[in-house]
Amino acid sequence: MYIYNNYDQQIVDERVVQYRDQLGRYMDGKLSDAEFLPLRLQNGLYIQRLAPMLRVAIPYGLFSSEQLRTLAKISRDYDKGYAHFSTRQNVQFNWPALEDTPDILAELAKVQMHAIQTSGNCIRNTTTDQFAGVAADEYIDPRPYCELIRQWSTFHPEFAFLPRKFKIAVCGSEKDRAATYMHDIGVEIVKNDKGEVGYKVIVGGGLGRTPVIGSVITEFLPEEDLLTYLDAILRVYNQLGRRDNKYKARIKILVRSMGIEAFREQVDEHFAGLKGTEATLTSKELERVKSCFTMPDYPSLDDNDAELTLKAEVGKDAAFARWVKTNTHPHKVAGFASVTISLKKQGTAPGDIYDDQMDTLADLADQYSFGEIRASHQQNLILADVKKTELYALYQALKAIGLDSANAGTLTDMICCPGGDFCALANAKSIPVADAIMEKFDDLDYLHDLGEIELNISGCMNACGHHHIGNIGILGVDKKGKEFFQVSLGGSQEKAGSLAKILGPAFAAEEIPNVIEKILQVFVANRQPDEKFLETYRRIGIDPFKETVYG
Amino acid sequence: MDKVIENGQLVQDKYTFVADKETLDPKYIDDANAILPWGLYQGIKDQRPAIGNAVWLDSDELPDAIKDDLSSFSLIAINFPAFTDGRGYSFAYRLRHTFGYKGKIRAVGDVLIDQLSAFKRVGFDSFALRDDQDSDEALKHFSDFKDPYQASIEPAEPLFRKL
Ligand code: HEM
Ligand code: SF4
Repeated sequence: MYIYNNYDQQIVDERVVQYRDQLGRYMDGKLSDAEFLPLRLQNGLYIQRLAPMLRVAIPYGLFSSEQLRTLAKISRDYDKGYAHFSTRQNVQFNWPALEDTPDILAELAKVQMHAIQTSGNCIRNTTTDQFAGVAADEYIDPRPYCELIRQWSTFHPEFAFLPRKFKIAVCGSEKDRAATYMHDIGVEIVKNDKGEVGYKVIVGGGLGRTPVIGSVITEFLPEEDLLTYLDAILRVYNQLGRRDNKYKARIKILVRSMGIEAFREQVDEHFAGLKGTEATLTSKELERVKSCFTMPDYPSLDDNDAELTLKAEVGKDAAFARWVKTNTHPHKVAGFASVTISLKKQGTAPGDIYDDQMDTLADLADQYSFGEIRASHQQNLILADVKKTELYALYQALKAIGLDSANAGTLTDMICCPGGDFCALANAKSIPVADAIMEKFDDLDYLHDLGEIELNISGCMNACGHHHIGNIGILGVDKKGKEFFQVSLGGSQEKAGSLAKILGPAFAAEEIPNVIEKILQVFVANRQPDEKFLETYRRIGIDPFKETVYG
Repeated sequence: MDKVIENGQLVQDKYTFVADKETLDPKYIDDANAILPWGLYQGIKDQRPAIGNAVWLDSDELPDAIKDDLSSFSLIAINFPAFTDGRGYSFAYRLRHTFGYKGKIRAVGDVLIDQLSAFKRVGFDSFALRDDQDSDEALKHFSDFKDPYQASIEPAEPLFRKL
C-alpha cells in the first residue's frame, strides 16, 4: 500500500496543528458557529443528534493492521468502544467529545491517517473496488490512480468551497464494484486499441433526492492527463454550479441543465489551457505511485491441492461450507481467495464493529493476509489475500469473535444508513428495520437459495443508504409526523446501473419484514434456474410483485 | 483609509471600494483610486484613463467578461459575498493562468483568516479582511501548508515534480 513520504506526513501534521488552532479559536469565541462549521466539516466532524460524529477517511478503502489497531484504540479511549464502517469506505465514531478531536486527529496522523475532506462541500474521499489489485476480472489496478487523486484533491486551494460535496469513484475491472455511474465523477481505467492506458470518464451521476445515472464525457483520456482533466471539470462546476438552492447544487443538475455536449465543450476549453502544462502527471510520478501497489510476495501454491484440502474441510463442517460459498471470492493468484468479513449481524447495526473485534481482526490480517484490510461500500471488511488452505483456521478465529456471518451478498448483507437513531435529518429509524429483517430471515439455507440480492435502506431521501440502487430499496418517509417506509424494486449499481422503481404506497415499519417475504415469494415462484433476483425482476416486471404485495 | 494585507504586511490602502452596483456617484468618475463595479465601469470606460483602473467582480460575474480589458487595470477585486461561496478562487486562477493578468488581485467581502493561504495560492496578492478579523493573527496564516500537493498559481509546479 501507499506509504507516506516526508511531504505527505508534513501535510497531515500541519492539518492537525491548523485544526487545533481553529478549534481553540472557536472555543474562545473568536470563530462563530457558522465560520467554524465548514472548517470542522472539512475535517469530518458533524454535529449529529446526540453528539459530534467524526468521520475518518480510509482512502479507497485500503488500510493496514496497524491502522486498524489505532481505530480500535480510538474507539476505546475516545468513544464507546465501537466504530461504524460507512458506505463510502470511511469509518465513523459516533461519540467523541469535541475537545478531544484534535488529539484523535494527532493519533491518526501517527499512523498516516486523517479525516481530511470527509465531509463539507469539497472533494471527498475517493472510493474504489474493495477487491482492487486481486479481483480475477480486473484489467488494471485502480489504487495508484486513487492515490494520485487523493493527493491532488487534498487541500486543493481552488475547490474547498464548491457548490456542494463532490465524490469521485474509480474502477478498473469488468464488473463495476465502485458504482462509477452514481458519482459526481466516475473514472473507469481502460486500454485503447493501441494498448495504451487511459480513462473513460463519467460525469454527473449521483443519488440523493434526484438520482441520476452519469453521462460519459470522454471515452478515452490519456493516462498523464488525469489530474488536469479533473481540474477542468471542477473549474467548470465551481464557476457555474448553482449556489442558490442546495438541492440543485450537485454537478448532476448542472450537467443536466447544460446538456452533456455543452458541458463537455466547456471542459474541453478549460482543459486545452492545461494540457501539457507542468501540472500534467509525469511518467516518473506514475511509476512512483504504482510501485507502492506491487503484488505481495505470493508463495507459489498448487490450486488443486488447495481445493482438495478445502473440500475436505467443507465436507466436515456445514456452517463453514455456507460461509465459503458466500464470503469467499475468486483471486488472481492460484491457491488464494479473498474473504468478506460481514459486519451484518442481528443485534448490531450494519457496519458496526467493537474495539476488541478490531484488535483481533488486525492480528488475523497479520497472520493470514499480509497485514492489509479493506473496507467495502457494502459496509463490510475484506481480507484480500488468504491462502485457501488457511480459510478454515481463519473462519474459526472469526467465529470466536462473532464475525462469521455467512451472508455476504445475500439479502441480509444490507446497506443501511444510521437513520433516526443518530441522524438529525432522518424521517425514520432505519436500523430497527434492518434488524427486524435480519431477525425474520435468519435461515441461512433459505438466504443462500435466494442467491445474490442487494437490499438498501435509507432513513430519508438524502439516500446515504443507496436505496435507489438496491435490488430492493427501502426509504424512510414522513407521513403526517409518522414514520413510514417506501419500498422500491429493480435498482442496481452495476455499470450504467439502473434506478429502482417504487412499488406503491408506503408501509409501517412493522409491516416491512412481511412485505419483503411476499416479494421474495414472487421471486421464488417465477425464477428460472440460476436466475438472480434482479434478472427475474427484469424479465417479469414490477406488476406481479405489486399484485402479491398489495393484492 | 483602511488597511489591507499585501506582501505579508498590513499596509494603508489608497483605494476606495465603491459597493453600489446600481448607480454610480459622479464623484467617482475621475477618481483614479476608486474600485468600481465592473458593470458601472463599462458605462464610463471612455472617460477613464487607458491604464491603472481598478474594478471589482461579484461572485456571479465570470472573469471572461473582462478579459479584453485587462490591460486597463492595475487592480481587480473579487467579492466573496459569503466565505462559503468559492467561485472567486477559480476567477483569480483564471485571471492569472488563462488570461495572463499581471496586476493586483484583491479578495474583498467575507474574507476570513482561515482562507488566506488558499487565496494566495490561486493568485490573490491583496487582502481586505472582514472588519472583525484579527489582522496580526491573519499574518500567521499565509503558509499553513508549506509544501502543498497541487499545481496552481503559487506554486505553479505540483509537489511531485520536486520529488
Ligand atoms: C449521521 C450523519 C449523517 C448526515 C447528517 C448525513 C447527511 C447526508 C446528506 C444531507 C446527504 C445528501 C447530500 C446531497 O444529496 O447532496 C447525504 C448523502 C450521502 N451520505 Fe450521508 N449523512 C450521514 C451519515 C452517513 C453515513 C453513516 C453514511 C454511510 C453509511 C453516509 C453516506 C452517504 C452517501 C453514500 C451519500 C450519497 C448520496 C450521493 O452523494 O449521491 N452518510 N448524507
Ligand atoms: S439517509 Fe437521511 S437519515 Fe440516513 S443518514 Fe442520510 S441524511 Fe440521515
